[in-house]
Amino acid sequence: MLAASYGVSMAFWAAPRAARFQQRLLPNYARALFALMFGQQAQHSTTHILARDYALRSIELALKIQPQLLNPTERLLTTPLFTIGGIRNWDEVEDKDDEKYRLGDSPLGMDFGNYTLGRLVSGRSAYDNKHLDYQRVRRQIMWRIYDLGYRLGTFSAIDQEIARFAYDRGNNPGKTDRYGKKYAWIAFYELAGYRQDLGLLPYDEKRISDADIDPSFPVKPSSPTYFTESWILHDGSVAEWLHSGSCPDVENRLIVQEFAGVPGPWVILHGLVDQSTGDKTIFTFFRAYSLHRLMCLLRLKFSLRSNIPGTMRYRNRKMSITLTPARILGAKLGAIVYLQHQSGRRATR
Amino acid sequence: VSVLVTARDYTWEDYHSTENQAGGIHFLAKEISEHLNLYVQIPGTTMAIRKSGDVATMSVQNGVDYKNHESLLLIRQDLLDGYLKEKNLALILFAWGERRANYTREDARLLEGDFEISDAIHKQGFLYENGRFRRFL
Repeated sequence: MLAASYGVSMAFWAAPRAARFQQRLLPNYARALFALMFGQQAQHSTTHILARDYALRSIELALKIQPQLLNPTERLLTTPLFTIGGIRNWDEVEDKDDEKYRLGDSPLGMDFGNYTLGRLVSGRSAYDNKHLDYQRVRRQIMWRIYDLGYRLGTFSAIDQEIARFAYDRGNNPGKTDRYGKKYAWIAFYELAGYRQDLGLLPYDEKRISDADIDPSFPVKPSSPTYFTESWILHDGSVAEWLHSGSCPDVENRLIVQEFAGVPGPWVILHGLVDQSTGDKTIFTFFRAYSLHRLMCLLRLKFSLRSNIPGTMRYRNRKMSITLTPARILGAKLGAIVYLQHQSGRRATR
Repeated sequence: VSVLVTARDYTWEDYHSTENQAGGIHFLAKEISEHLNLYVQIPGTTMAIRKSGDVATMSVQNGVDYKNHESLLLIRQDLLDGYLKEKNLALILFAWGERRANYTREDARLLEGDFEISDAIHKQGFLYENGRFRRFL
Protein backbone atom coordinates (compact mmCIF):
# COMPACT_ATOMS: atom_id res chain seq x y z
CA MET A 1 0.00 0.00 0.00
CA LEU A 2 2.88 2.36 0.79
CA ALA A 3 4.49 1.54 -2.56
CA ALA A 4 1.26 2.08 -4.44
CA SER A 5 0.64 5.36 -2.64
CA TYR A 6 4.15 6.49 -3.44
CA GLY A 7 3.51 5.62 -7.09
CA VAL A 8 0.35 7.73 -7.07
CA SER A 9 2.22 10.55 -5.33
CA MET A 10 4.94 10.50 -7.99
CA ALA A 11 2.32 10.59 -10.73
CA PHE A 12 0.37 13.57 -9.40
CA TRP A 13 2.62 15.72 -7.20
CA ALA A 14 3.46 18.03 -10.12
CA ALA A 15 0.91 17.18 -12.76
CA PRO A 16 -1.29 19.99 -14.09
CA ARG A 17 -4.96 19.76 -13.16
CA ALA A 18 -4.24 17.92 -9.91
CA ALA A 19 -4.62 20.87 -7.56
CA ARG A 20 -6.77 19.05 -5.00
CA PHE A 21 -4.28 16.22 -4.77
CA GLN A 22 -1.37 18.64 -4.41
CA GLN A 23 -2.97 21.04 -1.97
CA ARG A 24 -4.95 18.64 0.22
CA LEU A 25 -4.56 14.91 -0.34
CA LEU A 26 -0.79 14.61 -0.52
CA PRO A 27 -0.03 17.00 2.36
CA ASN A 28 -2.64 15.30 4.56
CA TYR A 29 -1.28 11.89 3.64
CA ALA A 30 2.27 13.01 4.38
CA ARG A 31 1.28 14.42 7.79
CA ALA A 32 -0.41 11.13 8.63
CA LEU A 33 2.61 9.16 7.49
CA PHE A 34 4.85 11.26 9.67
CA ALA A 35 2.67 10.79 12.73
CA LEU A 36 2.26 7.05 12.23
CA MET A 37 5.79 6.14 11.15
CA PHE A 38 8.32 8.80 12.15
CA GLY A 39 7.00 10.78 15.12
CA GLN A 40 8.36 10.24 18.61
CA GLN A 41 5.30 8.18 19.53
CA ALA A 42 4.76 6.61 16.11
CA GLN A 43 2.78 3.39 16.41
CA HIS A 44 3.92 1.94 13.09
CA SER A 45 7.56 2.91 12.89
CA THR A 46 9.66 0.30 11.13
CA THR A 47 13.15 -0.44 9.97
CA HIS A 48 11.70 -2.13 6.86
CA ILE A 49 13.93 -0.39 4.37
CA LEU A 50 11.40 -0.31 1.53
CA ALA A 51 8.35 0.66 3.57
CA ARG A 52 10.34 3.41 5.23
CA ASP A 53 11.68 4.65 1.90
CA TYR A 54 8.27 4.72 0.21
CA ALA A 55 6.92 6.75 3.13
CA LEU A 56 9.91 9.09 3.25
CA ARG A 57 9.82 9.76 -0.48
CA SER A 58 6.10 10.50 -0.31
CA ILE A 59 6.76 13.00 2.46
CA GLU A 60 9.60 14.46 0.40
CA LEU A 61 7.22 15.12 -2.50
CA ALA A 62 4.71 16.77 -0.18
CA LEU A 63 7.47 19.01 1.17
CA LYS A 64 8.24 20.18 -2.35
CA ILE A 65 4.70 21.55 -2.47
CA GLN A 66 4.43 22.71 1.14
CA PRO A 67 7.91 23.24 2.60
CA GLN A 68 6.38 24.23 5.95
CA LEU A 69 4.50 20.97 6.30
CA LEU A 70 6.98 19.76 8.91
CA ASN A 71 8.80 21.90 11.43
CA PRO A 72 12.60 21.61 11.80
CA THR A 73 12.35 19.05 14.61
CA GLU A 74 9.94 16.92 12.59
CA ARG A 75 12.20 17.15 9.56
CA LEU A 76 15.05 15.82 11.65
CA LEU A 77 12.93 12.82 12.55
CA THR A 78 12.50 12.03 8.86
CA THR A 79 16.21 12.33 8.12
CA PRO A 80 18.32 9.18 7.92
CA LEU A 81 20.14 7.68 9.71
CA PHE A 82 17.45 6.71 12.17
CA THR A 83 18.03 5.91 15.80
CA ILE A 84 14.47 5.17 16.84
CA GLY A 85 11.58 3.20 15.44
CA GLY A 86 11.04 -0.42 14.51
CA ILE A 87 12.91 -3.35 15.95
CA ARG A 88 16.07 -2.20 17.66
CA ASN A 89 16.81 -5.36 19.59
CA TRP A 90 17.39 -8.23 17.20
CA ASP A 91 17.49 -11.62 18.83
CA GLU A 92 19.26 -14.60 17.27
CA VAL A 93 17.98 -18.14 16.77
CA GLU A 94 19.49 -21.11 14.95
CA ASP A 95 17.48 -22.68 12.15
CA LYS A 96 15.25 -25.19 13.94
CA ASP A 97 14.66 -27.30 10.85
CA ASP A 98 18.09 -27.38 9.28
CA GLU A 99 17.98 -31.10 8.54
CA LYS A 100 14.27 -31.33 7.74
CA TYR A 101 13.84 -29.32 4.54
CA ARG A 102 12.68 -31.29 1.52
CA LEU A 103 11.71 -30.51 -2.07
CA GLY A 104 12.36 -26.78 -1.92
CA ASP A 105 10.38 -25.93 1.23
CA SER A 106 13.22 -24.07 2.97
CA PRO A 107 12.23 -20.47 3.82
CA LEU A 108 15.62 -19.13 2.73
CA GLY A 109 16.71 -21.30 -0.17
CA MET A 110 20.26 -21.55 -1.40
CA ASP A 111 20.55 -18.38 -3.51
CA PHE A 112 18.59 -16.22 -1.10
CA GLY A 113 20.58 -17.52 1.86
CA ASN A 114 23.90 -17.08 0.14
CA TYR A 115 23.62 -14.10 -2.21
CA THR A 116 20.74 -12.03 -0.87
CA LEU A 117 21.62 -12.29 2.81
CA GLY A 118 25.26 -11.98 1.81
CA ARG A 119 24.57 -8.48 0.55
CA LEU A 120 23.89 -7.37 4.12
CA VAL A 121 27.46 -7.98 5.31
CA SER A 122 30.90 -6.69 4.41
CA GLY A 123 34.00 -8.62 3.51
CA ARG A 124 32.37 -11.95 2.72
CA SER A 125 32.99 -14.15 -0.29
CA ALA A 126 30.13 -16.08 -1.83
CA TYR A 127 29.35 -19.31 0.03
CA ASP A 128 31.55 -18.34 2.97
CA ASN A 129 29.32 -19.71 5.70
CA LYS A 130 31.94 -19.18 8.39
CA HIS A 131 31.83 -15.38 8.16
CA LEU A 132 30.85 -14.33 11.68
CA ASP A 133 28.67 -11.37 10.78
CA TYR A 134 26.94 -13.43 8.07
CA GLN A 135 26.22 -16.16 10.61
CA ARG A 136 24.74 -13.53 12.92
CA VAL A 137 22.55 -12.17 10.10
CA ARG A 138 21.21 -15.66 9.34
CA ARG A 139 20.34 -16.21 13.00
CA GLN A 140 18.63 -12.81 13.17
CA ILE A 141 16.61 -13.57 10.04
CA MET A 142 15.54 -16.93 11.48
CA TRP A 143 14.55 -15.30 14.76
CA ARG A 144 12.42 -12.75 12.95
CA ILE A 145 10.58 -15.19 10.68
CA TYR A 146 9.71 -17.35 13.68
CA ASP A 147 8.67 -14.20 15.50
CA LEU A 148 6.37 -13.34 12.58
CA GLY A 149 4.79 -16.78 12.79
CA TYR A 150 6.58 -18.91 10.25
CA ARG A 151 6.60 -22.66 11.00
CA LEU A 152 7.86 -25.33 8.63
CA GLY A 153 5.00 -27.64 9.58
CA THR A 154 2.47 -25.02 8.54
CA PHE A 155 3.94 -24.16 5.16
CA SER A 156 5.96 -27.19 4.04
CA ALA A 157 3.30 -28.75 1.82
CA ILE A 158 2.22 -25.57 0.05
CA ASP A 159 5.82 -24.37 -0.35
CA GLN A 160 6.81 -27.70 -1.91
CA GLU A 161 3.95 -27.31 -4.34
CA ILE A 162 4.95 -23.75 -5.22
CA ALA A 163 8.58 -24.82 -5.59
CA ARG A 164 7.56 -27.41 -8.18
CA PHE A 165 6.28 -24.62 -10.42
CA ALA A 166 9.13 -22.23 -9.76
CA TYR A 167 11.36 -21.17 -12.59
CA ASP A 168 14.31 -18.92 -12.58
CA ARG A 169 12.94 -15.45 -11.97
CA GLY A 170 14.99 -14.09 -14.86
CA ASN A 171 12.69 -16.02 -17.16
CA ASN A 172 9.56 -15.50 -15.18
CA PRO A 173 9.30 -12.16 -13.37
CA GLY A 174 5.73 -12.94 -12.37
CA LYS A 175 6.53 -16.13 -10.52
CA THR A 176 5.02 -16.95 -7.12
CA ASP A 177 7.30 -16.84 -4.10
CA ARG A 178 7.08 -19.51 -1.43
CA TYR A 179 5.34 -18.52 1.81
CA GLY A 180 8.52 -19.12 3.77
CA LYS A 181 10.43 -16.86 1.44
CA LYS A 182 7.87 -14.11 1.90
CA TYR A 183 8.56 -14.23 5.63
CA ALA A 184 12.26 -14.16 4.84
CA TRP A 185 11.91 -11.10 2.58
CA ILE A 186 10.11 -9.18 5.33
CA ALA A 187 12.84 -10.07 7.81
CA PHE A 188 15.51 -9.21 5.25
CA TYR A 189 14.15 -5.72 4.57
CA GLU A 190 13.67 -5.01 8.26
CA LEU A 191 17.19 -6.10 9.05
CA ALA A 192 18.55 -4.15 6.07
CA GLY A 193 17.04 -0.94 7.43
CA TYR A 194 18.39 -1.60 10.88
CA ARG A 195 21.87 -2.32 9.54
CA GLN A 196 21.66 0.78 7.34
CA ASP A 197 21.01 2.88 10.45
CA LEU A 198 24.07 1.34 12.09
CA GLY A 199 26.22 1.87 9.01
CA LEU A 200 26.67 -1.87 8.59
CA LEU A 201 25.60 -2.25 4.99
CA PRO A 202 28.58 -2.93 2.73
CA TYR A 203 27.65 -0.19 0.25
CA ASP A 204 26.84 3.47 0.47
CA GLU A 205 23.86 3.67 -1.84
CA LYS A 206 20.75 5.51 -0.74
CA ARG A 207 18.57 2.74 -2.13
CA ILE A 208 19.22 -0.93 -1.56
CA SER A 209 19.83 -2.95 -4.73
CA ASP A 210 17.02 -5.33 -3.69
CA ALA A 211 14.46 -2.53 -4.11
CA ASP A 212 12.41 -4.99 -6.18
CA ILE A 213 9.86 -2.79 -7.96
CA ASP A 214 9.76 0.77 -9.18
CA PRO A 215 6.24 1.83 -8.13
CA SER A 216 6.10 4.50 -10.81
CA PHE A 217 5.90 1.61 -13.31
CA PRO A 218 7.30 3.58 -16.25
CA VAL A 219 6.18 2.50 -19.69
CA LYS A 220 8.94 2.14 -22.24
CA PRO A 221 8.27 4.60 -25.04
CA SER A 222 8.24 3.72 -28.69
CA SER A 223 9.22 6.37 -31.19
CA PRO A 224 10.12 6.83 -34.85
CA THR A 225 13.66 6.37 -36.11
CA TYR A 226 15.87 9.36 -35.33
CA PHE A 227 18.87 8.69 -37.56
CA THR A 228 17.13 7.73 -40.76
CA GLU A 229 20.26 7.70 -42.93
CA SER A 230 22.51 4.65 -42.86
CA TRP A 231 25.94 4.95 -41.24
CA ILE A 232 27.19 1.91 -43.12
CA LEU A 233 27.96 3.14 -46.62
CA HIS A 234 30.76 0.72 -47.37
CA ASP A 235 30.76 -1.91 -50.07
CA GLY A 236 34.00 -3.66 -49.08
CA SER A 237 34.62 -6.57 -46.76
CA VAL A 238 34.02 -6.45 -43.02
CA ALA A 239 37.78 -6.35 -42.39
CA GLU A 240 38.11 -3.36 -44.71
CA TRP A 241 35.14 -1.74 -43.01
CA LEU A 242 36.80 -2.07 -39.61
CA HIS A 243 39.91 -0.29 -40.86
CA SER A 244 38.07 2.26 -42.98
CA GLY A 245 38.12 5.10 -40.45
CA SER A 246 34.48 5.76 -41.31
CA CYS A 247 32.62 7.99 -38.84
CA PRO A 248 28.83 8.15 -38.58
CA ASP A 249 27.38 11.36 -39.93
CA VAL A 250 25.76 12.68 -36.76
CA GLU A 251 26.49 16.39 -36.89
CA ASN A 252 23.44 17.32 -38.92
CA ARG A 253 21.14 15.54 -36.45
CA LEU A 254 22.52 16.76 -33.13
CA ILE A 255 19.83 19.44 -33.21
CA VAL A 256 16.49 18.88 -34.93
CA GLN A 257 13.60 21.28 -35.33
CA GLU A 258 10.96 18.73 -34.37
CA PHE A 259 10.70 15.06 -33.49
CA ALA A 260 7.70 12.73 -33.64
CA GLY A 261 5.53 15.71 -34.42
CA VAL A 262 6.59 17.59 -31.29
CA PRO A 263 8.12 20.98 -32.08
CA GLY A 264 11.52 21.76 -30.55
CA PRO A 265 14.20 22.46 -31.48
CA TRP A 266 15.55 19.35 -29.72
CA VAL A 267 19.17 18.64 -28.75
CA ILE A 268 20.73 15.20 -28.23
CA LEU A 269 22.21 14.82 -24.76
CA HIS A 270 22.73 11.13 -24.25
CA GLY A 271 22.18 7.67 -25.65
CA LEU A 272 23.24 4.81 -27.85
CA VAL A 273 22.51 3.99 -31.47
CA ASP A 274 23.23 0.66 -33.21
CA GLN A 275 22.96 0.19 -36.93
CA SER A 276 23.43 -3.17 -38.66
CA THR A 277 23.39 -4.42 -42.23
CA GLY A 278 23.87 -7.99 -43.43
CA ASP A 279 27.46 -8.38 -42.27
CA LYS A 280 28.42 -5.06 -40.68
CA THR A 281 27.42 -3.10 -37.62
CA ILE A 282 28.30 0.21 -36.03
CA PHE A 283 27.38 1.56 -32.64
CA THR A 284 27.69 5.07 -31.26
CA PHE A 285 27.44 6.41 -27.73
CA PHE A 286 26.37 10.01 -27.14
CA ARG A 287 27.48 11.65 -23.91
CA ALA A 288 27.12 15.35 -23.07
CA TYR A 289 28.92 17.01 -20.19
CA SER A 290 28.48 20.53 -18.92
CA LEU A 291 31.42 22.41 -17.48
CA HIS A 292 32.34 25.98 -16.68
CA ARG A 293 32.37 28.33 -19.65
CA LEU A 294 35.93 29.28 -18.84
CA MET A 295 36.97 25.94 -20.30
CA CYS A 296 35.24 26.91 -23.50
CA LEU A 297 36.72 30.42 -23.63
CA LEU A 298 40.23 29.02 -23.36
CA ARG A 299 39.54 27.06 -26.54
CA LEU A 300 40.61 23.76 -25.08
CA LYS A 301 41.15 21.06 -27.59
CA PHE A 302 40.18 17.71 -26.25
CA SER A 303 40.73 14.28 -27.57
CA LEU A 304 39.25 11.27 -26.01
CA ARG A 305 41.74 8.71 -24.79
CA SER A 306 39.86 5.53 -24.26
CA ASN A 307 40.55 2.14 -25.76
CA ILE A 308 37.13 0.89 -24.83
CA PRO A 309 34.49 3.40 -25.89
CA GLY A 310 31.80 3.92 -23.38
CA THR A 311 33.91 2.75 -20.51
CA MET A 312 34.55 5.08 -17.64
CA ARG A 313 36.24 4.41 -14.40
CA TYR A 314 34.29 4.47 -11.20
CA ARG A 315 36.30 4.93 -8.07
CA ASN A 316 35.09 6.11 -4.72
CA ARG A 317 31.79 7.07 -6.32
CA LYS A 318 33.57 9.53 -8.58
CA MET A 319 33.56 8.98 -12.27
CA SER A 320 36.55 10.04 -14.25
CA ILE A 321 37.30 10.24 -17.92
CA THR A 322 40.63 11.16 -19.34
CA LEU A 323 40.74 13.92 -21.91
CA THR A 324 44.10 14.64 -23.42
CA PRO A 325 45.92 16.51 -24.79
CA ALA A 326 44.73 20.00 -24.06
CA ARG A 327 46.13 23.06 -25.75
CA ILE A 328 45.73 26.23 -23.75
CA LEU A 329 46.97 29.45 -25.33
CA GLY A 330 49.48 27.52 -27.36
CA ALA A 331 50.91 25.49 -24.48
CA LYS A 332 50.38 21.76 -24.60
CA LEU A 333 49.54 19.90 -21.48
CA GLY A 334 47.79 16.78 -20.49
CA ALA A 335 44.45 17.50 -18.95
CA ILE A 336 42.62 15.12 -16.71
CA VAL A 337 39.09 16.11 -16.16
CA TYR A 338 37.32 14.48 -13.30
CA LEU A 339 33.68 14.12 -13.87
CA GLN A 340 32.06 14.09 -10.52
CA HIS A 341 28.80 12.45 -9.86
CA GLN A 342 27.05 15.28 -8.12
CA SER A 343 24.32 13.23 -6.56
CA GLY A 344 25.01 9.56 -7.18
CA ARG A 345 21.28 8.92 -7.41
CA ARG A 346 19.33 7.30 -10.15
CA ALA A 347 17.58 9.85 -12.19
CA THR A 348 13.96 9.08 -11.56
CA ARG A 349 13.92 8.90 -7.88
CA VAL B 1 37.49 20.78 -13.02
CA SER B 2 33.96 19.92 -12.03
CA VAL B 3 31.90 18.46 -14.82
CA LEU B 4 28.24 17.49 -14.68
CA VAL B 5 27.07 14.37 -16.44
CA THR B 6 23.88 15.65 -18.02
CA ALA B 7 21.89 12.41 -18.01
CA ARG B 8 21.45 9.24 -16.01
CA ASP B 9 20.67 5.77 -17.28
CA TYR B 10 17.56 4.14 -15.87
CA THR B 11 18.62 0.54 -15.37
CA TRP B 12 15.88 -1.03 -13.30
CA GLU B 13 16.16 -4.81 -13.70
CA ASP B 14 13.17 -6.30 -15.46
CA TYR B 15 13.16 -9.65 -13.67
CA HIS B 16 11.66 -8.12 -10.53
CA SER B 17 8.25 -7.50 -12.03
CA THR B 18 6.32 -7.83 -15.25
CA GLU B 19 5.39 -4.19 -14.68
CA ASN B 20 8.98 -2.93 -14.66
CA GLN B 21 10.21 -3.47 -18.21
CA ALA B 22 11.46 0.02 -19.07
CA GLY B 23 15.16 -0.43 -18.32
CA GLY B 24 17.56 1.14 -20.79
CA ILE B 25 15.99 4.57 -21.03
CA HIS B 26 17.62 7.82 -19.98
CA PHE B 27 16.62 10.76 -17.83
CA LEU B 28 17.93 14.26 -17.48
CA ALA B 29 20.26 14.67 -14.49
CA LYS B 30 18.51 15.62 -11.29
CA GLU B 31 20.58 18.79 -10.96
CA ILE B 32 19.33 20.13 -14.29
CA SER B 33 15.79 18.82 -13.80
CA GLU B 34 15.37 20.60 -10.49
CA HIS B 35 16.86 23.82 -11.80
CA LEU B 36 14.42 23.80 -14.71
CA ASN B 37 11.52 22.84 -12.42
CA LEU B 38 10.73 19.65 -14.31
CA TYR B 39 8.81 16.51 -13.41
CA VAL B 40 8.42 13.09 -15.03
CA GLN B 41 5.08 12.53 -16.70
CA ILE B 42 4.51 9.15 -15.05
CA PRO B 43 3.90 6.53 -16.34
CA GLY B 44 5.47 8.09 -19.42
CA THR B 45 9.15 8.95 -19.50
CA THR B 46 9.00 12.45 -20.91
CA MET B 47 9.75 15.30 -18.56
CA ALA B 48 7.64 18.43 -18.48
CA ILE B 49 7.68 21.84 -16.85
CA ARG B 50 5.71 22.11 -13.61
CA LYS B 51 2.57 24.22 -13.80
CA SER B 52 2.46 24.41 -17.61
CA GLY B 53 3.02 20.73 -18.41
CA ASP B 54 5.00 21.72 -21.51
CA VAL B 55 7.23 18.88 -22.70
CA ALA B 56 10.90 19.48 -21.87
CA THR B 57 12.65 16.20 -22.68
CA MET B 58 11.82 13.28 -24.94
CA SER B 59 12.99 9.69 -25.15
CA VAL B 60 13.83 8.13 -28.48
CA GLN B 61 13.34 4.38 -28.26
CA ASN B 62 13.00 1.99 -31.16
CA GLY B 63 14.38 -1.20 -32.66
CA VAL B 64 15.94 -4.29 -31.15
CA ASP B 65 18.92 -4.17 -28.78
CA TYR B 66 22.28 -4.82 -30.41
CA LYS B 67 20.78 -4.74 -33.92
CA ASN B 68 19.12 -1.67 -35.34
CA HIS B 69 18.32 0.18 -32.17
CA GLU B 70 18.10 3.77 -30.92
CA SER B 71 17.94 4.90 -27.32
CA LEU B 72 18.40 8.66 -26.99
CA LEU B 73 17.52 11.52 -24.66
CA LEU B 74 16.54 14.85 -26.24
CA ILE B 75 16.16 18.17 -24.46
CA ARG B 76 14.36 21.25 -25.71
CA GLN B 77 17.01 23.65 -26.90
CA ASP B 78 15.62 26.79 -25.25
CA LEU B 79 15.66 25.06 -21.86
CA LEU B 80 19.21 23.82 -22.38
CA ASP B 81 20.32 27.29 -23.42
CA GLY B 82 18.67 28.85 -20.39
CA TYR B 83 20.28 26.38 -18.00
CA LEU B 84 23.75 26.83 -19.46
CA LYS B 85 23.44 30.62 -19.43
CA GLU B 86 22.15 30.86 -15.87
CA LYS B 87 24.84 28.51 -14.61
CA ASN B 88 27.57 30.00 -16.82
CA LEU B 89 28.28 26.59 -18.27
CA ALA B 90 29.45 25.24 -21.60
CA LEU B 91 28.48 21.88 -23.07
CA ILE B 92 30.63 19.30 -24.80
CA LEU B 93 29.21 16.25 -26.55
CA PHE B 94 31.13 13.15 -27.50
CA ALA B 95 29.92 10.64 -30.06
CA TRP B 96 32.03 7.53 -30.21
CA GLY B 97 31.82 3.82 -30.79
CA GLU B 98 33.07 1.03 -33.03
CA ARG B 99 32.73 -0.43 -36.52
CA ARG B 100 32.33 -4.19 -36.18
CA ALA B 101 30.92 -7.25 -37.89
CA ASN B 102 27.26 -8.02 -37.46
CA TYR B 103 27.32 -10.35 -34.47
CA THR B 104 24.04 -11.96 -35.36
CA ARG B 105 26.18 -13.92 -37.85
CA GLU B 106 28.06 -16.96 -36.65
CA ASP B 107 31.08 -16.06 -38.79
CA ALA B 108 31.35 -12.53 -37.41
CA ARG B 109 34.75 -12.98 -35.78
CA LEU B 110 36.09 -14.70 -38.87
CA LEU B 111 34.92 -11.83 -41.06
CA GLU B 112 36.63 -9.27 -38.85
CA GLY B 113 40.05 -10.93 -39.06
CA ASP B 114 42.90 -9.61 -36.95
CA PHE B 115 42.72 -6.00 -35.83
CA GLU B 116 43.57 -3.65 -33.01
CA ILE B 117 40.60 -2.16 -31.19
CA SER B 118 41.92 1.30 -32.05
CA ASP B 119 41.43 0.42 -35.74
CA ALA B 120 37.68 -0.01 -35.21
CA ILE B 121 37.00 3.00 -33.01
CA HIS B 122 35.37 6.14 -34.31
CA LYS B 123 35.10 9.27 -32.21
CA GLN B 124 33.86 12.80 -32.58
CA GLY B 125 33.68 15.69 -30.12
CA PHE B 126 31.50 18.78 -30.34
CA LEU B 127 31.42 22.04 -28.45
CA TYR B 128 27.97 23.57 -28.07
CA GLU B 129 28.15 27.33 -28.50
CA ASN B 130 25.67 29.98 -29.55
CA GLY B 131 22.95 27.47 -30.26
CA ARG B 132 24.97 25.10 -32.47
CA PHE B 133 27.50 22.32 -32.23
CA ARG B 134 31.01 22.90 -33.54
CA ARG B 135 33.19 19.85 -34.06
CA PHE B 136 36.59 19.95 -32.37
CA LEU B 137 37.50 16.27 -32.56
